[in-house]
Amino acid sequence: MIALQLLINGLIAGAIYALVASGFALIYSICKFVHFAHGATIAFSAYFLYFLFSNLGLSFGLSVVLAIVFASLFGYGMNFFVYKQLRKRKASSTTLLIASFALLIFFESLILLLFGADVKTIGFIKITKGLEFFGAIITPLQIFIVLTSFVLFALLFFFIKKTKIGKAMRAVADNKEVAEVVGISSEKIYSLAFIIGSAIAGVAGILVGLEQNLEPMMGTNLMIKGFTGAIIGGIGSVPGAILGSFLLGFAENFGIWFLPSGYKDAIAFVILFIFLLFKPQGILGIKKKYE
Amino acid sequence: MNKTTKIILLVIFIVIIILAGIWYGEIKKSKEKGKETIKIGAILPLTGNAAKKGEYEAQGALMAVEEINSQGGIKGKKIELLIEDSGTDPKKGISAFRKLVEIDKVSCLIGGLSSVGMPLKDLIEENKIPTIWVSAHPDFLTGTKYIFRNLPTSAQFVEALSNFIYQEFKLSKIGILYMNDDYGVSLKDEFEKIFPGTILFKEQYDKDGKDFRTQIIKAKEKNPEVIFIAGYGTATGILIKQLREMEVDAQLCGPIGIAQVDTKKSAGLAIKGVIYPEFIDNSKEEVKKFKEKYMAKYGQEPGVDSFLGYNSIKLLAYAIEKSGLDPDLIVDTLSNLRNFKSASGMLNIKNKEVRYEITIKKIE
Repeated sequence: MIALQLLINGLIAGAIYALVASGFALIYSICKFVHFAHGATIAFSAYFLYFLFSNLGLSFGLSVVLAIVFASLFGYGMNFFVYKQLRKRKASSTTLLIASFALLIFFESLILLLFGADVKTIGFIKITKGLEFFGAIITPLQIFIVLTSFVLFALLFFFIKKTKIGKAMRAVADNKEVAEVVGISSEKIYSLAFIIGSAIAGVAGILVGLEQNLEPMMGTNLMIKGFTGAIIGGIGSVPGAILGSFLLGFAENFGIWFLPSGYKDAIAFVILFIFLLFKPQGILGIKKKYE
Repeated sequence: MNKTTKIILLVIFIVIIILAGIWYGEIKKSKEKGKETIKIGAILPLTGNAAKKGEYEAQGALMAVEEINSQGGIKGKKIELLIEDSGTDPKKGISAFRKLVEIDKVSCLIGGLSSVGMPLKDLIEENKIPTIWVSAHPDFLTGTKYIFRNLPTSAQFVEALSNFIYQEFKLSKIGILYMNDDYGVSLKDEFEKIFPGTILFKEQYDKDGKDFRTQIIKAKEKNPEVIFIAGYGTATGILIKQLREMEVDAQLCGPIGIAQVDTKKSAGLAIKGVIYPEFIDNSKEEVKKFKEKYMAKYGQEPGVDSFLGYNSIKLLAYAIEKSGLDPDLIVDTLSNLRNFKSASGMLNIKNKEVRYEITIKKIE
């Protein structure tokens, strides 16, 4: 019973981390820099949903679609107005990393300014008692989160592996110069990575917003765990990041069954250190010789 | 004119100006003597992150002053309340104290915030200024004579809650979930000290946490009758929501912070039935009256600090009326005060702490 409940708890936590990590890892694998402002996209899409649904009173379905579209545009905008301009000036990936921090802090402050510091609830789903499966409890929303993440990851996998654009993205991820020689515009692929990655962030923002409410700093908190998951799994690989996130979710929840619950974050970061020390490329990451 | 005459003229000019100043001051003083006031100083955070608390306390205090003055003041003398902003900054608090005590010569002091009050303790004692401060800091009263605490301490709250659970509900198997900050840990310690029943578990939860399901199954395994949730804010709300989602049916209780708007919002419907201690009972006549008056005057609902500010002034006014302006006599009068009628009902002073009647409330 307990083991099953722990498994489910780990699955829920893992699904949330994976939703954050997958978009982030997609952008990283193609653009080769750490886009921390991904957290801002997540937070903004959640707040945008709140604005449309709770303030403007649009229907929930329409609000969700618009929030995802908004997240895509938001990510695209960040790439177009900030990262692209920096790349034009031959900025290193460290500069881009710092810029992404600046964007994260800027947009979180903007949320604080626009919506205030108090907690917001979207209020679409009323509190429900969980459903029981063989003694383990899970709420319908949590089932939905886990299923959505699986469907999304399957679609993402299919898109990258099978479609022509996906192949082009992989080509750029693999070797930008060679891809450009073949006639693939790397800037276009970068934009596309931001659009797709940010759309996933939008979905993550919506689901997390429904499950855990909205706060201006939600993006940073999510990014910390998502980033950890991505590192564990192999930051350059989307399936790796997803795997790492689930591993993190399970490790945390099984860990605090035996340890006092205050050690939850400690467990996550101990795992992170172990991987950084002994397998810095992560579970599925590929060691690249020329880097 | 040579240089020496110039200097002599200048010196004469300066001396005349100084003399004129002193003369003017003396005239003003003698004029004021006719309408002498009792000066009370207030050091409040009117700016910064506790500005709302300061605003409430100032408004409550001003309301009390106006009430007393409109009824003829204290033995014919009006009260003059001099408010200084501490901006939640201890350093500014000290300069405000110096101004109020050394320049304005206030006879009593009120104020709020432990962080501003703590460094003022020695100054207050040195200058013998009877002071009523809003602070819950456990060490605020150690080694002092002239300071009174006008806020129930967490020990008092926890005691009331523990008695209620043990005597009224007759429940003795309790679990504690506490937030991993100063507030949560100190509440947990207090509760452990006071509660006579058995404590089945003590688990901490993260102040910024979002996912407490595994702590919850750990708690659920122990089968507690009551869970004491020592925390406040969003994380606590989420914890309560997840407890109910995971079908934990124990009676939930918590400190006053559990009734915060943030906690309520993030817990949603799950907050229903949670009990907590409170010292301003909205069902009391006095409280209702105070609220009405306050609304009419300021156009907003009073906060907890409005009541405290009002009561601080009323207490000082009572003591001054009884025993004049001698600081030691004021302290004596206040120390032995029983059944004082305040804006929030009867209160007593015991060990220099203003004791409010603490009631246990249920969130509906």
